Amino acid sequence: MTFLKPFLVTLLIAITLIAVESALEYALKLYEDNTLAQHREAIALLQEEAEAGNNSIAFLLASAYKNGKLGTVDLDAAYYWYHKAAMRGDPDAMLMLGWIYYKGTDNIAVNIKTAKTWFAKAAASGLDEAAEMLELLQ
Amino acid sequence: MKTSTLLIPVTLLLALLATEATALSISELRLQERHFALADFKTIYKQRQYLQHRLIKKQRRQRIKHMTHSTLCNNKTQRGPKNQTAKNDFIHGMHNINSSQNDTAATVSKPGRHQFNNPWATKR
Repeated sequence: MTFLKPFLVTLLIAITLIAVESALEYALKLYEDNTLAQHREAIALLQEEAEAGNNSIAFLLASAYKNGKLGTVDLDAAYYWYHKAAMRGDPDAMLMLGWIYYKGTDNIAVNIKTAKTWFAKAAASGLDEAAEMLELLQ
Repeated sequence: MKTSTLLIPVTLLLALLATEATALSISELRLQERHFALADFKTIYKQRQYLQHRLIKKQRRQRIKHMTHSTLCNNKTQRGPKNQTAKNDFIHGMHNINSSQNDTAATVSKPGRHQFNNPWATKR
């Protein structure tokens, strides 16, 4: 009986991990098939997970908005999710945020200084691409 | 009891395997996005460098044109005045000079046959 309790806890953790990862896997499949826009309930679930702190899902959502997988290309929505992930320490999101600041959108003005800051943060996290971009901007 | 003890690491291992299997595809997506961002960044960078280069060239050309124009204007003012009254005075002055030069030329130069002062005519 003393064994049953930790086993159940471990099982619960494992199930949660598998569930979250399978949700991501499922979302990735929809993303690749270009059918993510048709699954509104899946998008709502992904948004909940991303808000809760899952950086991979936030990155996936941002990429979906950036590449027009959820309708039209929406760089402002992409910025929102990249920013969320970047603030939680996601290096790829930092790089993408720098790219958005360098490129500029309808609502986000081009800001080379901020772009450099994000590229520097991403480069410090070990991204070679960010280091290359930073070198070009110096 | 022993089978149950084994179940915990097996379950965790399975969960980790599932995580790793998904992590590969999300890492692929991340890699794709990084490559896209780098390529797009380089394109925008080159475009902006080219535009900046063209702007500098245009500005330099305009500066040279402006400088040449102002030099020409300065030369013109040195040759003659710009405002109308000064122009009139200038023209009048030039006319006076020309007429006086003509008078002098008339007196100095050899007179024509009709202007020739015939000494015999008075004697007659």
